[in-house]
Amino acid sequence: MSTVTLKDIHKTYTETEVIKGIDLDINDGEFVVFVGPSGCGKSTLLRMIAGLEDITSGDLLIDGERMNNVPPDERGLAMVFQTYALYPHMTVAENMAFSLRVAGVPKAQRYERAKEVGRILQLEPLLNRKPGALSGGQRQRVAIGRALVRNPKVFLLDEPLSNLDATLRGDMRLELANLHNSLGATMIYVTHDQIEAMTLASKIVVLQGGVIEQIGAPMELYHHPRNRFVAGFIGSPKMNFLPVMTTSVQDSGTALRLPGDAVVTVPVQPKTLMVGDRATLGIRPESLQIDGNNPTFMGEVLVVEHLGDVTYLYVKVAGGDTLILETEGDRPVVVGDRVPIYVDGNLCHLFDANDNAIPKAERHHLTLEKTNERQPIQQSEPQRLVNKDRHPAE
Amino acid sequence: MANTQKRSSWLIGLLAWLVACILFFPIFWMFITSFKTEVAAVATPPQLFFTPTLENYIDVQARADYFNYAWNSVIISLGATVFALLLAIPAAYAMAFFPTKRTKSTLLWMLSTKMLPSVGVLVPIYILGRESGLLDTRIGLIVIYTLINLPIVVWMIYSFFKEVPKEILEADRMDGATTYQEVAYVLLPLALPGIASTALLSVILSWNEAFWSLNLTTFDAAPLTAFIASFSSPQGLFWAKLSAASTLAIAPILLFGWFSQKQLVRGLTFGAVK
Repeated sequence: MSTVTLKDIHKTYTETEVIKGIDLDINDGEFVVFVGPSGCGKSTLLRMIAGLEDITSGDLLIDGERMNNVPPDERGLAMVFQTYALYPHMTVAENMAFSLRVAGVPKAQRYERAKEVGRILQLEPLLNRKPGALSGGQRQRVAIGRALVRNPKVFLLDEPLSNLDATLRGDMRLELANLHNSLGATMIYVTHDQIEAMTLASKIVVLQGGVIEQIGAPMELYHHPRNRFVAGFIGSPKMNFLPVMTTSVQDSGTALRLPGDAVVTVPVQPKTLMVGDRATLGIRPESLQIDGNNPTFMGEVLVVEHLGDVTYLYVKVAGGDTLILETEGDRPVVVGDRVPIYVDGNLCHLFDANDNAIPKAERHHLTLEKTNERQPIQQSEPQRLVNKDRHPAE
Repeated sequence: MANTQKRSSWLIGLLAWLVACILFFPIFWMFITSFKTEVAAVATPPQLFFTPTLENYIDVQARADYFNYAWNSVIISLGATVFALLLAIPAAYAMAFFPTKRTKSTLLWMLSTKMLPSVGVLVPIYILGRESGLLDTRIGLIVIYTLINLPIVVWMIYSFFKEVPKEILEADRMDGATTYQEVAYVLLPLALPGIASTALLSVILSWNEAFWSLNLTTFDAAPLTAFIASFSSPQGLFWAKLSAASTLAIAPILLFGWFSQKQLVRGLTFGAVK
């Protein structure tokens, strides 16, 4: 059992408040990802959990025990840093076993443990090398190994993949997911990369300006963002937003007039908007379609981005707004083309004048049950290792 | 274009050699003068070619015990360096990793003490030395040199510590290292090149310090600077003997500096080029 609970956590640097009251429950075995733009406080929050930053006010509980004033190493956590933070003058084995060395574990036993962890992470042939002689991916694995050696209750990972190139990042992402599945350990992960967040997380915490904007499973955030910020932050390319006005409100949906006078009916819960209310329509690039039979409006193509599998079009529509539209990779479109665009009201999101999402009439089927929560798949080797052999210093 | 570049780099090379020669010339002249007779040493025009003699070295050793002075220099400079490092490492550690609002001004204040002319505190220091019985003792000079060099030693070690990534220290704290373990196992090994060059500089500065050694010692604790000075005035100027004494005095530190110059340059430019 390893749970982490944050209760009304605040952090103030001299005059500036960077964390403004965070309440969060992290359950045993969860993979929680903190995302948010730079400066949103996600790393600070992680460092407060780690004990590297003081908590100005509020309570941090690990397994129900208040940890505010407990030194980092006694919290039962291990951290993987963005810069790896390996000890450059020590070998891989010494790096991984450093926590055992300072705890006074005999050398032979330390090396044995480093070897075990090295085997899990495929670092065995590198145990006697220094970090300087390793590639970025290998260094990252050593950093993870150093965390594994300690058998922590909770793993903290601070943007661990951001220094790797794209291919390696993909591979390491997969390795991390496997590691989480096999260890079943609680992990808290900070990233600004939403692909990492969406693929790894069982629970995403979206932060902005030191407050939590929304907590939820990846699909929950994607299909039911609580506000315009989350809607814009999750999903790539970003959701399009158009100013609209309510023209009629019925049980079947709310009809909205778009710039250029087209009308779209969005199935939101009734009586949330009045006729004449101003609102913002949100529509993801992948929900816009090019459809000559049933166009909602026409758009002029400004930029074409061919990515191979998909093509992104930046189109200017009536009213002067520019929308991003995702279409097939082999669609022959060139700059200057006029394309008919169909907006499916069922796929749209609606936000009120305060940018809060107006609840949809029906929930997306993927968010009805917790089908997307990661469960430990099987009891594989690392799991046995962890149970059999707790930290010798404990 | 390439031609102009070539010519300008050639010119810079020439200029560098010229400056180096000008800087080296006094040492060179001192060195050859030490092998001249007293008459040849003061001859006009100066003689570049002469019959060398070891007479001056024999005279110098006969008149003053070189090895006594040299041994004092070794003990005093190494002693002052060890003490300075023992004080500076904890101070620099605290200032580099746990800075407070006043850290910057403390550092500047420390450096500002170097701006005070030494002679300004000669009388109080002399009286303190006399009252505490430290006049003409090695420990007296070690204390003075430690204090003189401390600001620069703290500054240098502080800047080397600043180069150590903060995350590495955070990592060792997460790993459970105590302050002592952090410093001994992580920080010092990482900052070793810097500490070595700081130590080197401290030894050189202590070796060459003359003001306090001349004023606070007579014989028992007199280092090589006092040895040179003893040849300068009493019986008029004997250039050849003075040169021989000076050559003997600077030879050890020059050789020491020569062999460790790689370390010294690396330390002094540490962080400038990564």
